[in-house]
Amino acid sequence: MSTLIKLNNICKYYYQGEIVTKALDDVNIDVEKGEILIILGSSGSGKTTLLNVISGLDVPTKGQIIFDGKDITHYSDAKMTKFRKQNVGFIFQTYNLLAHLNVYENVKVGAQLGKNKKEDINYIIKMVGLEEHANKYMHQLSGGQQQRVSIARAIAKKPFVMFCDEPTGALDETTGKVVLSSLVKINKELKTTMVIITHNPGIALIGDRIIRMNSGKVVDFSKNENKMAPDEIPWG
Amino acid sequence: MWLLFLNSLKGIKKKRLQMIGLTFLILISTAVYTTMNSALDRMDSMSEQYMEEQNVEHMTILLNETNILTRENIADMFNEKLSSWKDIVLPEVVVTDEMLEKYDQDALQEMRDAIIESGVPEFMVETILKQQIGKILAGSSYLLGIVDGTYPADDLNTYIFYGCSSKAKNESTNFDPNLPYSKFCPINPGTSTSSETPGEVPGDDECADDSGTSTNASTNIAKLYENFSSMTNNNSYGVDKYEYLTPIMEELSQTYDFTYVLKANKVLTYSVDGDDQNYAASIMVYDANLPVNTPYLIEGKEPINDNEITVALPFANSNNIELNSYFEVAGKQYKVVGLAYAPDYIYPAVSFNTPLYDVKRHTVIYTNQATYNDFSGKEEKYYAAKFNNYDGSYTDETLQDLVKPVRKDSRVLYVLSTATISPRISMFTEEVKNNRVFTSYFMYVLLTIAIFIIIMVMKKRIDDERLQIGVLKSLGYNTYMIAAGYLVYPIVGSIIGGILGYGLGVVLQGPVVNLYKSFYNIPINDFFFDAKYLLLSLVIPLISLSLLSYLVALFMLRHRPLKLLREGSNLKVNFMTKIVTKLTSPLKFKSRFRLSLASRSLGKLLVITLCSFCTGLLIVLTLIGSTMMNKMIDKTFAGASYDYQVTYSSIVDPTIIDGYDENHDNEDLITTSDLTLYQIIRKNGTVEVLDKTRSVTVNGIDESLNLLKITNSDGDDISYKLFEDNNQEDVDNIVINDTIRTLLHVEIGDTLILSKRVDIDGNVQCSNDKKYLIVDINETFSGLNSYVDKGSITKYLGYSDQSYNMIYTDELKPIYDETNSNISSVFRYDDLKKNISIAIEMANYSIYIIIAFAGAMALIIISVVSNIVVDENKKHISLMKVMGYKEKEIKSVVLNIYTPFVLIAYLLSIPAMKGILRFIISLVARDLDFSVPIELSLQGALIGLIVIMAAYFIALGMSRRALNRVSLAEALKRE
Repeated sequence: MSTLIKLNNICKYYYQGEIVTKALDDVNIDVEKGEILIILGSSGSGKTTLLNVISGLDVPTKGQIIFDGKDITHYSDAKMTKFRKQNVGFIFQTYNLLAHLNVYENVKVGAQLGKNKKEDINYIIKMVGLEEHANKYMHQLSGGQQQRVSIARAIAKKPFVMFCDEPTGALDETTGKVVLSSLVKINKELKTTMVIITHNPGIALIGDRIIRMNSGKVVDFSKNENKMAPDEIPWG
Repeated sequence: MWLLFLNSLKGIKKKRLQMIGLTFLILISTAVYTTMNSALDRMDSMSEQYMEEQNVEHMTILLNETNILTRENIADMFNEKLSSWKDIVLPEVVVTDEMLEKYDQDALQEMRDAIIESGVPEFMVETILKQQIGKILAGSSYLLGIVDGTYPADDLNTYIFYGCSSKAKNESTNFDPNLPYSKFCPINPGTSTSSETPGEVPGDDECADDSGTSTNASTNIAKLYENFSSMTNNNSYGVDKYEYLTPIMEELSQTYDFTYVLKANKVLTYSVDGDDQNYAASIMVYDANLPVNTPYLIEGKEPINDNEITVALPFANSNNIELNSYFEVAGKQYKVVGLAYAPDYIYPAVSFNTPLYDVKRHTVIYTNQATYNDFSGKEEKYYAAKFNNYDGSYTDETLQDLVKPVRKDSRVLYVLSTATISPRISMFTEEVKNNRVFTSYFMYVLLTIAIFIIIMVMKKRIDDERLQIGVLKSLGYNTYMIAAGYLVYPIVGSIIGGILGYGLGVVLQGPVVNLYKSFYNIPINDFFFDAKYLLLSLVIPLISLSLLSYLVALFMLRHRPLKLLREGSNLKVNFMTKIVTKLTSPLKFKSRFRLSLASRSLGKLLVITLCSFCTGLLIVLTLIGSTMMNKMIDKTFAGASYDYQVTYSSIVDPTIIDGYDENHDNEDLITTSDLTLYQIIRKNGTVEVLDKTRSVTVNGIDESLNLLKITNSDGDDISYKLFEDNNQEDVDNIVINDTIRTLLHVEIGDTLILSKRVDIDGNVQCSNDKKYLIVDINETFSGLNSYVDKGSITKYLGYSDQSYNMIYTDELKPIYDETNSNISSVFRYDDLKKNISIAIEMANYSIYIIIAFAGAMALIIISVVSNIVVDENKKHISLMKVMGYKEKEIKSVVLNIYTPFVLIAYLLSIPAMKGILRFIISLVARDLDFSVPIELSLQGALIGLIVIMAAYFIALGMSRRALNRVSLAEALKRE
């Protein structure tokens, strides 16, 4: 597999007067195309900051981000927005869907960025297992279903990479595994690279590689020798 | 982008109250816009055409008679009646050689040559010459005697004076003893004031070099002017001066290319059974062929036969007069054969006594010549003129350019032009113009308020949806695309409000037109659909609100996605809240919590405060306006317990009138004169020369008054102060009115220096100074008016103590008949009071409407804001419910947070509006010589407070429902 994203000596510091908080400290990682990369760490380890930097939502204090051979470190806001539109999808712990639109319309909100046709949207809705709920509104869906809608929305524009920040954080085991299955399915069928943040070591087992973070540093970055399907992983 | 818009559209249900408020504002603005413009279009579209077709005058012209009438004219007019001029024996003047040396030598030589040519032997030439010069000097000496008062300014001497000082035609000479004035007038051609072509009259109002030496000279000349005018109007002379003036009008019409008519009308005041107020009519002869101000027949026929009349339509409607029925005017029955308008009486103010049009009691009456002659009433004549080659509008500035040279012509005394202000015509056109401006600004004001509401609603929504917005931005939506989704509010509000507003406007324009119809005598068009207003009702709010909302949304959405996605990013505490928290730490919890909530959103706080301030300004303005009008009327009429004010055209001096036996018991005889104020000596001794002189009306009164009361602001009688000794030599006492005090910033103790100034053919003659010490202020507000001891002014002007030119009386004696040539006008104060009271009453109704409107605006805005406050604080409300607070307690800390701000804003609006009004009045009054009382009574202030607080608490009451609906589960939800 070839490298999609490369981070070189990435640092992210926060300054409060004389106090410097090193959220990321000399991080060097790469993300390969088509893989599921897990970033694992406890609260405050810097994993969310790392996700924000990789995805272009945040700007590093030092270092370099190379995306598909292009240095995107110092992109302007407008350029970065365009970059995200063309390349990146996001899923967050809270679903943040539009309350007054139904499932189909919410997915279309994402699809419009990629100028997808109606058939593509229906396919994606089917892929996340919500074809029977396409006309329902968010208040009519469970948490897991809503999260799957947000996945569909993110994937609808066919991004190269999906960034998922604790996608199962608000869900129980059963629902969470369903969501993870959707992500794995998308990765397999659409070859979309997945970068998933979690504090749950069980979830890390669905990944191809795992990055372990602690206090802003990468303490381990290795291949997952015990890769499992989502329904097999231990929860918690 | 459409989906984002759809999301917002579907979410409108949750913002019901705000959308209703917004739509309502747009509805009102477009309704008023459509109503007024449609109504004005109906009136306006006909008016120019009507005025053109009826040949409405461009100007009223009064000619400068003293400049026009030649010696021959005056001789023709008065010679028979005043032939005793021949009997006047002039004092002999013996001419010496020394006197001859001072004479004009060229003129002398001409006279010598003329004598020689007549055949006189050479040795007699000098003797004859000296005789002739002696006669001339004797004549001149007599003229000077008239001027300096040696000879009285009676009719005979007026005749002689004008015979010599009027324009002389070149061919007339002064040496033919059969011609009048020959023995009085100076011969020197260099002093002739005739001119071949009219030119500009010098406008210099500086005193002429040779003036100021004699008080009597200028005042006597003024008396002569007044007497000449009276003579030319005096029926006993049988004089028709227009026979002589009309040829001049003919010349003017050729020079300035206009058509003219000599208009005559009689103003008649009469009573009607069952009505305690007098009716007034302006009576004219119906002539369908009149080239200027052609009558407009609405219905029926022309009054061809005797005792047939037409009346105006509103008058007929108000008095239930049908065609071919009879109507009684001044005790006689007339057949109403038609309904007609006088096109130059669009606003038919028919008399001085009734300056405000009363539909029921005022009308123009057309009749035939014979019936017109039979009518009593004071007749006025003037020339009405219309330019021949002017195609522009009646109010166009370019008309001024045509009028200016006419006005400056030395043969013209006065021009009243529709281009400047001719109340009967231009009041209508001004009203139309001003109303259009008002409706546009009104629309903009309401739309500005609407923008505030949109901003508040948008901000709330953006705050609520910041996470969703953060995700959308993360996915790649840019700010412009996201902002477009929030345009749903201005778009929906504009479309619904605009269409409904237009519809309402179409419905309401009818009643508005009817109101105008009853007020203005002008035909009005039927309603016609104008797509322009439908379009503008939609387009103006749609574009203006959408554009502004979009710009604001872009600003609100400027943050980066990460900032939006961070939890609690909307919970940042602003600097104002930090300051308030510190300042309010000693207060109780409830107060601290309220103030903290209020200060959390500066935008909402600003909107509420501004709204209360502006509503307060509007309410205070209307209340002050009401107080102003009522007070002006009260003060103006407070001192007037008389029913009639009779003004004479010239001074009446009983001491020189043979057989004078008029009884004026229980009346007040006043001597009134306009003097020029040009200097002030302040209390501290500083002398101030005014950069602009002012004409002050000085009213001389007797010590004991029967009907007039002069009071100060406390209502105390102060006339006695005029007769107290001020221990200053040559300085008399004066009581000034409030206008003088305000305009010139004078006070009690200051001294005014006045003089009598008379403009004679552009040369301003000034009399000696007259000093008056201000001893008190009379609270009246019209004109620059003052009172003095009568003796002081009569002496100054050279009259006897008993002279007068104005009478206040309760009884309208026959000698006060307006048709008497000596009487200039009779003011019926009762009619004036009632006329103005009716207008005030109507104005008061409109004040209540404005106050109600201001209150409604405040209600809408405060409702919207309170609703948003409840929405924003759902979590707090829910938490408080969970903790066990009662709903009443929750309401008091969450809803009543703006009470002190609303109160303070209103209280601040009172001095603010007073200050604004004082500033505006000072600018306006400077040029118009009037002042107005700017006061707000405690009662008025309380009314305003009640209105504002009522709107506030009603709005809070409406938000209480939303507060009650907040569930306890709300507290459990994540941010």
